[in-house]
Amino acid sequence: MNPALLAQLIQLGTQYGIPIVEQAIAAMKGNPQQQAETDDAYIARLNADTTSTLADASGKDQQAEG
Amino acid sequence: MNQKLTLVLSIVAVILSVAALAGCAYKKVNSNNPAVVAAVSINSAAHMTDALGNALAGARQYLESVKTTEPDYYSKFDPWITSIAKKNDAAIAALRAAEVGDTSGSWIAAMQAIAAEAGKESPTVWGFKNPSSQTGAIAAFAAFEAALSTIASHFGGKQ
Repeated sequence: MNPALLAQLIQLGTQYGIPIVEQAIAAMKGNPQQQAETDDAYIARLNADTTSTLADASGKDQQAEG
Repeated sequence: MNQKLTLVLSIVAVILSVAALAGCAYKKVNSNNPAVVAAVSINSAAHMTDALGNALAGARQYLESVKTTEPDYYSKFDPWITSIAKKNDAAIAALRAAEVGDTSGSWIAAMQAIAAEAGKESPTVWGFKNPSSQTGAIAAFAAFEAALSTIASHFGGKQ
């Protein structure tokens, strides 16, 4: 990691607390959502969203079938 | 329902569907974990079925609004819209099965079947009796075509 950037992150960490540093590092790695939580937690969140989305979609199909 | 109101409702449906598509655009992840990739793929497909559901509901409203003024059009496209809605429901069922452990990948074929069915007709090309009916059809089916285009581009089954 760029030393200057690391220094900035440490300063931010001191100023605002460690979590913001962790989030910044996760963001730099790409896909912050996934870096900030475990794969299992991410999958669980996706699955919950999938379940509610499918229920919503099915209701609309019933309307469309007339 | 008068045609002006229908047009407004159709435009609202378009906006909602396009917003849904923008929000659900196929998620990209930097993970090599097959479980993550599978969950993301299924989640994206679920959002596509939801966007198509919105679009189908809008198309249905439009069809009902021209039932008496464009009866031939209604007769032609009513069964088609119903068929696509049923295929969307089949995709939803396959996605639900995948969620609980079905690894056959049948949901992919179900998504392709939607696009294939959609490619059989062109609902905005028709000899409308009333010119405003075509304007309404173009608005009503814009979201529908956007949703199908997204499905076809990710899963094939060219529309």
